[in-house]
Amino acid sequence: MEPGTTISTDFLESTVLLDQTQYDEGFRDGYRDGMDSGKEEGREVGLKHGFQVGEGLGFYRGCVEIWKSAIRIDGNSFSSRVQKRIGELSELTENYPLSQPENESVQEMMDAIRLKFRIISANLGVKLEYEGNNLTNASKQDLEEI
Amino acid sequence: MPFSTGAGFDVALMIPRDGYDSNDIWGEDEVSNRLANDFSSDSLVLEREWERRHNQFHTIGYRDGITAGKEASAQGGFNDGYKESVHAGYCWGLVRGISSAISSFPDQLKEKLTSNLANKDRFQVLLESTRAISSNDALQIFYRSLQQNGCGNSDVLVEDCSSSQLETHFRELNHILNNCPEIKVDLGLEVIIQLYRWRWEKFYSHCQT
Repeated sequence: MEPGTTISTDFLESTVLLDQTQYDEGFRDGYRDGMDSGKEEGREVGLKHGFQVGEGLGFYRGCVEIWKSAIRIDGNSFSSRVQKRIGELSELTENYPLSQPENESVQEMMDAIRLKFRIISANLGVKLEYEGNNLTNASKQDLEEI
Repeated sequence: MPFSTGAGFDVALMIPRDGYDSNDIWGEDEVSNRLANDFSSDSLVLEREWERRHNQFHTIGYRDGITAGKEASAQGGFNDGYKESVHAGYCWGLVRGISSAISSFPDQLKEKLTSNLANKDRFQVLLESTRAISSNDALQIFYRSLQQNGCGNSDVLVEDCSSSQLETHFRELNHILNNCPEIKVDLGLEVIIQLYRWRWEKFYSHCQT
């Protein structure tokens, strides 16, 4: 190998090394700042999502408990078919993992609860919705955007 | 073997240290000074180029780092926020659900459930004031109560139990329910305990920092 070639290779190597060092330094600074802002942004989305999920589940649970109380004092207040569905909804709301946001089945379970609730409401001929009912999916999407 | 490093012979010792350090026998200093003057503009260019490359690679690294850092911490932040709010939301949802479900009943069933007219009226008032708060309003009220709590002193923690409008409604619900023996509501005690456990954990972590 020519002596000149060796020098130029070394020169390139050191330039690449320097670039890499600067990249690494930038990465380290960025990572630190990204950790801070990601945590904060994630927390904001989590606060919103948690409140909405809690509000939804509390709403369904509250309705179920009142329906169950009505059945207790007057067994004829609802048809046996509706009573059975209320029992199923009660079980669904009890089993919902409220403290486990990362549980993979939460969305599926909430959908099942919502569907069962709508069927019972329709059976009873009452409208028991509130405007926050369909908001919970939006904040999950917010997290994916971060 | 003048350059052998074996048998305790050190290459560095071959160089007369005094002469090497103090006398510029080859006149290198002079040459380099002249070069520095002649090519000062070149060194400025080099410096700028170095700075440009530094900025360029540092910036690329910084951007990649931000993305990686966010990815690494977003889920943890999300979980923290979720745990902070879910139980408060749940209690608020119970107020909405219970007052709505009762109001949907025919009068006769409503009266049987609420035991007396006073309770029935209190439920009606609770329903109306709850309906006046939209889901978004409720969230904003919750955010404000969190901010008021943020300083982590014990007086604020105690005070918080009576400060939030949402909690006032929840307490009113509990008062009415205590007067309505026909309504047996399992509020999910575990959830309420979680709500307060979270507060205490937060309180303790504030004390430690």
